[in-house]
Amino acid sequence: MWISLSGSYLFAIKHGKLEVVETAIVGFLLFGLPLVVFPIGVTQFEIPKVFLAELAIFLLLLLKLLKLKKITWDWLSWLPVRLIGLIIGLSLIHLLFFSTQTTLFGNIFRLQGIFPLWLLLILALTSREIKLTIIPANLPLVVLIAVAGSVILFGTNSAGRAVGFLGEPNALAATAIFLWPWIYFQQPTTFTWKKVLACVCVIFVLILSGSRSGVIAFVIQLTLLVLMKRFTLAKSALVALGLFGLSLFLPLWERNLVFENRAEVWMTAWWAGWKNPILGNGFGNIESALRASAISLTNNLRFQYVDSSHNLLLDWWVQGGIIGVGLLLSLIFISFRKFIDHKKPLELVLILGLLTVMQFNPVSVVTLVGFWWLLGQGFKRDTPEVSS
Amino acid sequence: MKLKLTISAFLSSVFVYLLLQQVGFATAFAQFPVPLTSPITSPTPTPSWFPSPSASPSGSPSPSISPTPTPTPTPTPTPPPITYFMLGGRVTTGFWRWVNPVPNAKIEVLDVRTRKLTTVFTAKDGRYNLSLVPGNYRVQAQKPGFKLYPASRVVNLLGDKLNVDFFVWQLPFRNKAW
Repeated sequence: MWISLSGSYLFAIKHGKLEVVETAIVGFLLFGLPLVVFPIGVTQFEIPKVFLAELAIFLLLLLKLLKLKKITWDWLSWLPVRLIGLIIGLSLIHLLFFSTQTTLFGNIFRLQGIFPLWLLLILALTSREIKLTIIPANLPLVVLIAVAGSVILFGTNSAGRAVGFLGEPNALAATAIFLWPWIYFQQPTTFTWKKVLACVCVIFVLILSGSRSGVIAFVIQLTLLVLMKRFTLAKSALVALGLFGLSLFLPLWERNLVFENRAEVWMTAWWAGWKNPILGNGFGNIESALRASAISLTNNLRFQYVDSSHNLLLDWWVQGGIIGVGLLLSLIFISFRKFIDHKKPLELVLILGLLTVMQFNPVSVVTLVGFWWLLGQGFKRDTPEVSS
Repeated sequence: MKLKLTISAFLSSVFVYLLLQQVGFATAFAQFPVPLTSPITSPTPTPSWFPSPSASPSGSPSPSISPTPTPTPTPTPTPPPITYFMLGGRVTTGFWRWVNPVPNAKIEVLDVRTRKLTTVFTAKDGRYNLSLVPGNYRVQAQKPGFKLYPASRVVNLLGDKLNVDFFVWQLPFRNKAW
């Protein structure tokens, strides 16, 4: 497989078909990665996905380098590049001064340390101009059906929730949330059986995975779609953002869960961040930071294995401090504004869905790839037609 | 062109080095299974259908301890060493190599001869291990909300180690998360 892949890669480079290879790599990252299951490492679900994602992103970087006609430095003046440069700088500080066993690669269950973070940042920058035109239109639907089918194939976890190809129920729901808008926006104005099938698959996955965050994300996405038919994209997005903000209060009404209670995890993460509020505890060090915070707070988390604060922003707060959160929020704001200004409903629906699921759960590499690819879409430079 | 190739070669070397390091990091821990020598055993309760002769009637006051002179130690013959064998296994769901471990499943091992019940719980990786004297045992696994196969097994523990695995099959129609 590797020989044929590298052979086709070299053939494409030699014959100037780099765009095709680039599109294929991005297509694989978005639609092929969720299907990868291979017994390696401690879990056959997450670890092979991480390795393949890293390899694919690096190939993308190499292609970008080979495509460059001339190496110039004018792109350094561009705001997203500067922000990403600052994130890389922050991670280097962590690597030098906050280094632990998990800083560079993350823990063995997720491998979400500094090295994968760098590659995700590279993905955001390199994939922004790649068009997905040659990807078959039915591919998202096929993948969504496969993901729904995997619910039966792989059974449930110990809590009785379906795990599918992703190995984790919330990650499975996040994948479905990411896939279905592609099918909707193929023909947004007409009623087709594909849309019905996509909705059935999503609901099937959401129910069997038992992912409440997935349901909230789906409702927010549907609300945005309905509002877009009546109001402008900006107004609809504002209402959807309001709903998204309100949903963050839901854990306060959560039943008295002992295991991974969101309110408790968030509180622990909040105080963990205050240990080093400027620079954070270091990317990849969240597990030890949360444990130390839980011990000082003497809450239930002391007796549980928790390697995420179950909230994207709190993750960055714990790991990167106020600088890290500020940089991430800036990147999200840039992309969000670009999607509204340039009327990109698909990207808006996707990012709102992903942001919602990422505010309640630990994230899979599949979700992270989708998220950073989406942010990258917001970094596109203005074309003369659009800006005029 | 030369600069591009140099940069590409440098980046490739760094990437391959880091990726190999990461593969080593991620797979190193998977190579070492849970050691057999540290079973998580609970105090051995006696089954309800087998009343213990040593059980005192409930509510009876405990005898007061009076200071007694320490007896002079007398040499006692050392008992022959007891041989312990390992009974272990794994509780999983899924199929072939794509399996999910089932943690916290209750494994009950009943000594058929003495009626002594030993209970262990599976670890995070779904494994359990026990040190037992040779004999016949009835092993059964329980996990609320799951159907486990086989329901129970009678095994003859005569070798160094005996493996008794349990398998879970459940369609995901009963979500506790809701």
